[in-house]
Amino acid sequence: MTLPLTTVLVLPLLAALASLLEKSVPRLAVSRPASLVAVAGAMAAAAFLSPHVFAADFPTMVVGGFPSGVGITLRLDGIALFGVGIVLTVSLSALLFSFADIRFGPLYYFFFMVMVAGMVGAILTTDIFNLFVFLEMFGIAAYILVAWSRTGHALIAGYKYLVMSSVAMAFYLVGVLLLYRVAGSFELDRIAEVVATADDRTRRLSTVAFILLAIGIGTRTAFVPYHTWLPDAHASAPHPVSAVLSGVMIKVSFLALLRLLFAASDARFGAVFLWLGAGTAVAAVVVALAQFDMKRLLAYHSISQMGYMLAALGAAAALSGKGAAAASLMHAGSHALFKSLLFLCIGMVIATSGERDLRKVVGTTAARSARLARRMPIVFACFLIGALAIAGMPPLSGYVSKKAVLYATHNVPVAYWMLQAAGVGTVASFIKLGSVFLARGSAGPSDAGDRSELTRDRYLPSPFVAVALLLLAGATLLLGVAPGRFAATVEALLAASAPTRSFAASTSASAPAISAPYTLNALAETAIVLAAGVLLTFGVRSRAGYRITALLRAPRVGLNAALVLMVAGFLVFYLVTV
Amino acid sequence: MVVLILEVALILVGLYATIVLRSLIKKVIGLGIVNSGIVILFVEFGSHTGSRAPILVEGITDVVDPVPQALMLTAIVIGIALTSLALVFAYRLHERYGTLDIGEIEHLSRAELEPPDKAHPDQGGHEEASE
Repeated sequence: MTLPLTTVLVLPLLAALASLLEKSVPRLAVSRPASLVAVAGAMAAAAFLSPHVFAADFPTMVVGGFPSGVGITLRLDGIALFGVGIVLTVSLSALLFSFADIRFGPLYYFFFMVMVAGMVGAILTTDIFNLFVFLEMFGIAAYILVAWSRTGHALIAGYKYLVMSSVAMAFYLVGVLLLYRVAGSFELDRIAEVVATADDRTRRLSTVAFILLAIGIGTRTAFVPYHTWLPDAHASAPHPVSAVLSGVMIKVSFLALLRLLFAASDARFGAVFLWLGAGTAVAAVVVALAQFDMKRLLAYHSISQMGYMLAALGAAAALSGKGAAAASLMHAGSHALFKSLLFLCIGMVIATSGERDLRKVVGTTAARSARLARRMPIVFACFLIGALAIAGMPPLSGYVSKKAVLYATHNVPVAYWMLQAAGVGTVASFIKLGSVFLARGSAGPSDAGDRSELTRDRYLPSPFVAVALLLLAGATLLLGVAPGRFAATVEALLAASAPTRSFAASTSASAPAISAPYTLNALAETAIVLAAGVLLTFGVRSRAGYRITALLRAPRVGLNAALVLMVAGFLVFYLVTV
Repeated sequence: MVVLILEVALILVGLYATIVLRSLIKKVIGLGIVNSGIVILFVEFGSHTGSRAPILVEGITDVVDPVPQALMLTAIVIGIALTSLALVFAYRLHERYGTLDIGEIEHLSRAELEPPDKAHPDQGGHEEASE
């Protein structure tokens, strides 16, 4: 079982090496096939191992042949299998999408595959220092890919991302040291055991340590107030990279956070994350509603949807919601699929129209006198699936997982209503975004024509794009059609995970509201949310609405302010929990 | 105790430089100081268990804890990669905007992306081939 486990991690690295080889010997042209084979091979290896995982016989490997406890342990448990699954699926689609753009050379595929390998490693490892190494590994690849276009805003986005996450990692390392002092080990399982039986003084120390770790990982996961790097980074990256960043990269650190919370087994963290999540969901959706830059709009929605997951996770850790841990994982999974789908669809819109601004795309399509929906029907259909899923409409995965999250938080009415309100905002902003496909618009700017000529030939009309989009759209639809299967699988994966023993109460109970969400009540609720969303759309379009959203667009948090916010966030976190 | 205070002070100095100073390069220097502070913190913590180098031969006791040292080798390597990458970003940004002031660069790049009025946002025009 060691060999397939090694394969999952090493194949992407080998593909990265092959791409580097092509850089020096251009005749070889191996980077694309090698990357594709590596991701597919890693998927096959993970699928081969999955029966063992469900049987709770975890494939485990200690790097370098050291005895367990000394060497670094890589282990594929239920949560890890879930994470590897979404990382590889989304990476595969993004990779296929990348093939359509001839400008991406071997170096691009090198960094892309290093990023994939880093994410897989971060999911597999059970060692918190090794987690730091993998976080930095895919982090460095991500900083470079964010700045890939070398435009001014992409460079500053990359720099900002780098500096913020480096400061976050400094917090993280101090936390690692404190936990090493407490437990004498970096293994998360061992730490969980020690913390569970510790006396008061040690517990206080470990609480501080866990806060430091949570801030470090939380910055990478981008919840308010550590989110400020995300809209810039995700909006500036090339489209397929945006899909990976928003779809799975923030989920990787989220899964690490989930393991950490289970290890800390401290109900106070649960409450903090519940409120942090609900607040994040609402605040980010309000800002998203005000955006006209299509990729920024999607990026803010990623933050908002992270809020849903975080709220459910908080409910799980506070032991107040049945099936809450499963709900947060379900939403993580479905969001990974539909958000990357949305980024790829909008990527195609931007590539076709040459504009990122919603208002201007409407202009250019009018100038070409054909609606985008008619010119690219597959992209439009896939966008529709993604947008309906993120808005929580049946019968798509987003509906199922959002209902699960809402059910998980229904014991805490205020948080529950905050999440419902965020749902209304999501509906409204995707009506706004969807208008790019349909609107005839007024006469476009005169210079639009040559600009779009400039950008249009970058993405060749390629079957790869269609395959990538249909793969993600199909998965989104499938998870929505079979909610019982979806919920049962996620719960089985959670049950087959090492660190969730103490949370059996909040995970194992299979609630009907999660596994069979298509009830009349729930559908009526969704209809109300939809109606409210439509009303909100009109509100935002009105003159008063425009003024309010203009106010929300104006302030942009600079790097220095963001860093101050981060340190302040740590202090607040500390005061609330200790 | 004094050593611990000095280590924390070193980290705080680095954090101050990263957070407050406006120059891109000085921020990178600040990150370097933070990184060094953490390395010293780890290594010094490992030294509490003994005083001799952890080369395990017959009869040696009283060795320092080798694990934090080993980890810090990794952290130093990562720190070098991050520093060089951050400096590349700073260099490119300076090349483009002619300044190293973070506030000014943020302002300029934003003006480039969303001009105040109806002029079109410029983000495709300056793109070079990526390699």
